[in-house]
Amino acid sequence: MRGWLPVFKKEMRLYFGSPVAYAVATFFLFIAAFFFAPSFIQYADVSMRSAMQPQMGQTLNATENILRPLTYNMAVVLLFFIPMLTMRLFAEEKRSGTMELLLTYPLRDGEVLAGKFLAALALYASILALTVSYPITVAWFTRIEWGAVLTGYLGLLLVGAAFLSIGLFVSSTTENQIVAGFGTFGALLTLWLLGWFADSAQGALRTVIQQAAIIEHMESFAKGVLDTKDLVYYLSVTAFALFLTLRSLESKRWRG
Amino acid sequence: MTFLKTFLMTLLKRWGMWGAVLCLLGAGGLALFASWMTRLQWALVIAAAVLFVAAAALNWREGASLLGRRGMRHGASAALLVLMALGVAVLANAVSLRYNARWDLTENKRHSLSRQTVKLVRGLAAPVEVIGFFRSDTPGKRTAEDLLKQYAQASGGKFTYRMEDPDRSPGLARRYGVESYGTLVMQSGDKSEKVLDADEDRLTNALVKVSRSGKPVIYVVKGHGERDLSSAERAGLSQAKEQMEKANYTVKELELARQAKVPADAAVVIVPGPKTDLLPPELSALDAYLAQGGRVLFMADPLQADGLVKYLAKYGVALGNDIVVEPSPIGQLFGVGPEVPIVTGYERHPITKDMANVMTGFPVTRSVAPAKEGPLKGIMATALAKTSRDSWGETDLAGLRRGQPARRDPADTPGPVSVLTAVTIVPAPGAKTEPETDDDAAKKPEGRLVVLGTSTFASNQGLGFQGNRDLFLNIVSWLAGQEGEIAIRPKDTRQNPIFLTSAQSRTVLWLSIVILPGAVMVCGIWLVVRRRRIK
Repeated sequence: MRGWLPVFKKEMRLYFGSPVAYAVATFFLFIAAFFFAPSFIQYADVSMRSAMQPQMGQTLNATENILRPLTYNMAVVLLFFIPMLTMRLFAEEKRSGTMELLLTYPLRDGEVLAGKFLAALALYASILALTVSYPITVAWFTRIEWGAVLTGYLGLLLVGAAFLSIGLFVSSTTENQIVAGFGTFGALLTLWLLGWFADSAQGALRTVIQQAAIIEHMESFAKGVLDTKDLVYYLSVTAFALFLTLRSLESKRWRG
Repeated sequence: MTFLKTFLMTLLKRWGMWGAVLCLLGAGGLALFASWMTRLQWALVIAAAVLFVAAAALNWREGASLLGRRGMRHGASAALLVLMALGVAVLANAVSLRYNARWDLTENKRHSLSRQTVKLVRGLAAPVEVIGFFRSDTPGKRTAEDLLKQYAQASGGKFTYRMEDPDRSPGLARRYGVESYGTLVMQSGDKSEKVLDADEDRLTNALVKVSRSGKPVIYVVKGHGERDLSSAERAGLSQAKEQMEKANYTVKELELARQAKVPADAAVVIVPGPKTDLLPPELSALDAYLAQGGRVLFMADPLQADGLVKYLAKYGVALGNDIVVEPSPIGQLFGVGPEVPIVTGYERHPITKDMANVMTGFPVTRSVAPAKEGPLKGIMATALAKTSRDSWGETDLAGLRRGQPARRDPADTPGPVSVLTAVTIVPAPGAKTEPETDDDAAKKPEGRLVVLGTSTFASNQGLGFQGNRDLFLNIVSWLAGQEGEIAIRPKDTRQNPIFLTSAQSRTVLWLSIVILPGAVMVCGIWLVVRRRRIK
């Protein structure tokens, strides 16, 4: 099962050799900064005001007021950004005809998939690593709760993995990058919006929708709570989407 | 017989796989919708496994011989595999929804409920609904929602909540008498309770109130010239009655002399400023009541019912034979004279918990303090409210009656003067005095006694003054034993403010919005350009 490594390396070379990775990273950091910087400065404002009027009595918790919404908003940005990372992965190979080549390599489908998935995940994780500069900036000025920051990043990593695997699946079903990109965006948006419908549902249906919606699970990670049901959700979505991709790849062999 | 056998085999062969999938899906659904049928769930899982194995074994030969029709076989098996994977995923989620573990990694565990609350919420008998009246920009909305969500999750469906914007649905806000943003209205059956600040302590205590069956009864003693419960005059108690009824109590009059016994359903007995002494049988009825964990509020006006001095001394309360005088000018700001001492500082106690920075006025009061003789056995008296340092208890009452101005002299009680005292009476000798634990709810009730030096405080004339109404209701609810019965230690929220110079805030802006994304972009351009050149 060592076959994933060459695929992984090739994908990483492709990512970092082309402007794509940098463009995506720049875009992501720029947007995230617009969520971070104003709330940071607003928080400093509120701190100043409540220092002058102690009876304002707000809870001035930097982790709660700056980093929690930031984590949550970054997860929203992923909706637009993950499709850009995944749309190329299989669609491009199919269009350019390298898919046949890839399939005739002495590699198992699982190894090809693992290589591509891990490469996309590694790129995503390294972009995410750059955003650690935000909590560090806050920690420079005041004490923050690193436990909550940790769950926030774990959540971002997991939600990213789930999004990436869905993107991979959509990309494996088409040979048009644009279709793959929009298809992924649509699928992710649907899963995301489910959460909005949960509010209007009642009883058990509400529970089901809440468990199915991606948005609900990100919330507890963002606020510093690690819950097994959220872990299971993201891991099962990732595993299921990867499984679907595998079936989709396999179907190429027998459908001809 | 053989026909039946063949039929079953064919059925199993052809539909066994699908049956297995159905069973798995069913088990997942059951775990979600009907938590109590765990046995049936497991039976379904086992049935799925059996069906799967049987179908696989029966199809083995045919499967092998079908090799010719590759597409069909692959397609069907792929679809089946996908369905099974979906079934497994759904099952995993259903199980994790029911049996989840949770770790709160915030420092003060602010996203977790205390054990008392969880126990209470799990045991709810009737559904409870909370409506939160928040505008979307009301600070604390998210905190309140977080908290309510935890209650809802712990309750298993009995506790529900929704958020309403009081500006968009003003009718609803008016119906529940909501006056400020951030008010939560908790309802269960015909009972409702308003919570002004969403913290766990207040919510849980409100929950205790609305989920309790029946309203506690408050008896107000009459027959000795006490203030009249139904009178709407300045001296009457009609407003106090109305406020207590709003707070879910039933208020009744009690002629203690006639009954010679405190009724068994009494939650609190109030003695509102008797002019003449209570009779010995009445006092012994109160003694018996207190000894069984009863709750009594005495309002002992100056110059009246002297017998109370001796009686209350038994419970470690010293009633001063004086009138408290407040010469400092703050009272004049509110249009009251020196006969209305103003209280701004309170001792820490469940009664005064919410009273920080709230002013109360005690019109024409005598001093009420814990007795100096040291604590009596099983009795603990605490002075809750004291007047200012400038005030004193004037003992020259004859002089006051003659109209002489009060003057401070050595015989007077020096200020600050205590005007409100709360007493707890531990029921039996030898009672355990171990520290309170979370599950200590079932301990024997302690007797509680609160003594005020004035009854004007609770009258229609005095109740509206500043924080008097709140303090009065706090006293009643502490006596009735709801508030503070469940005391949840507040989560110590560490404040960590950030102070920035304008240079620092500019740096943060530039670093995050321009420099960090810019650096990545420059890196990318440089790399791509270099690569082009090499080519």
